[in-house]
Formats: sequence, structure tokens, C-alpha cells
Amino acid sequence: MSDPYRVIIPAANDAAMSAWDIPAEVRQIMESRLREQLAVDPIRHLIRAISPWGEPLNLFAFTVPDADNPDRTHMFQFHVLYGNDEESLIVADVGYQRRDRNLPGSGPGLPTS
Amino acid sequence: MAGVTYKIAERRTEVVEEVVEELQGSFTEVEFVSGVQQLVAEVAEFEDLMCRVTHSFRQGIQPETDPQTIATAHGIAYLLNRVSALFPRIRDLIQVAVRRSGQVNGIERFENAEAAVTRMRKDFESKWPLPDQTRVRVAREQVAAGQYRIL
Repeated sequence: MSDPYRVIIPAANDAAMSAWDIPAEVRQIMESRLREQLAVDPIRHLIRAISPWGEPLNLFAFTVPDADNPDRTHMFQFHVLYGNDEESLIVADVGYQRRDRNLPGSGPGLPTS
Repeated sequence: MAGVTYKIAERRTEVVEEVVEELQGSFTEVEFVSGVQQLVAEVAEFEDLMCRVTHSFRQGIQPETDPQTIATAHGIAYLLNRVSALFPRIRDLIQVAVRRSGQVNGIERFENAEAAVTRMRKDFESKWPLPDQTRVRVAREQVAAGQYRIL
């Protein structure tokens, strides 16, 4: 099995992620998805997408249910670029929304980062 | 996978982009004015076309939305931007055509379509998690400057 990719999180996106108001266990799951899925097998987990300005970007998106609130879902999106060294993945943009069932649009509005 | 309507809209947008480009070249006055007139009529129909493209995406992202659908939404956002960008370019051509011939028909419908597509684009962008060009540029700059952490 090949080495995992280095997942590079630029400072601004790191700050945005730190500012997300999410439970600690959800944050752990989010980071483990980045480490254990994205870094290990990006080809499997990334979806090719195009940015609104026409640049190819890869999307890594998933949802995490809230353990304490069954009506709540945490939704994450990471826009990812392959590094020039082909050993790293750059998290170029990040997005998060929280949705509560029966309360459409609850939590942070879109877009968030 | 993108739907049939999306593919049709994408192809029509490409063709209109090509025609707008071609009309920058030299044409006889009659050919030019006729070309602009046909363009105006064509893009006026983009309101209905893009309405159909965005129809099933109107609710925005939901907890059950799968990643592939989010990626498709990215493509639609790109298409909406391309369609929006056509209107000012065609307006420039209209002004030239009006100077040459005195009249281009269907301007009101053209303007209504432009306003509708703009509203559609803004509404779409507010409901889907799309990347931001400035944030992506800053991310690249920060990586180049060594301002990052490795997870």
C-alpha cells in the first residue's frame, strides 16, 4: 500500500475550520475522514467538479450525524487540489453547514467557510 | 451525471459564445445586424432553458444530498456564470447594430431574460456550497508562502 498523501490546510482555511461551531466528536470524525479516507485514497473519495469560474477542482463531501441530536446533521465540503509534487493534497476551500430536520436552512447559512 | 437539459444548455451556450466571438470579425452590415438580431432572440430563451436546468436544484443542499449532486451543482453554477456573461457582450453588439441599422427587436425580452438569469444565479449561489475564487487564490498563496499545517 502506498504512503498516504500529505493533506495541506492553508492558514485561512485552517482558521475557518477552527471557527466552525461543531461538537468535539464531530470534529474528530471530520479530521479522521480527511486523514483516513482523503489522504489514503483520494482517487476513490474525490469527485471531479468545476468551479463557478471554470477551474477544475476536486470535491470531498460528507455528512456526519450528531450523536447528541438525532435531528441534526453536519455537512462538510472540501475543495481539493493535487499538489505539484503528487504527494500532497491542498485543501483550497472549505464549507460547512448544520441542518436540523424540519428546520430547513437552520444553522450557518451558505456559503460558509 | 449531468442531465440531458444541462447538456443541451451547455451546448447552446457554447454555440452562442462562438457566434458572439465570430461577430467580432468583419461582416456586411446586413449580416451583422441579422446575426445580432438572431442572438438576441436566442439568449432571450435562456431564461426558460436555465430555469429547467436549475429546477431540481432549487431547494439547495440537503442532508441527504450526495456528493455527486453537489458536484453537478458546481457545473450548473459555472454554466449560469457563462450564460450571465453572454448578456453584456451581446449588449455591446446590440449597440453597434443599433448605430448601423437603427433598430434591433426584442430588447425588452432580452433584458428580462438577463434579469431573470441574474436572479437565478444569485439564488443558486446562495443555496449551494460553492468554492470562492478569492479563497482558493489565497489558499494557493499561503501554500507558496509556507503558511499551512499538515493534517
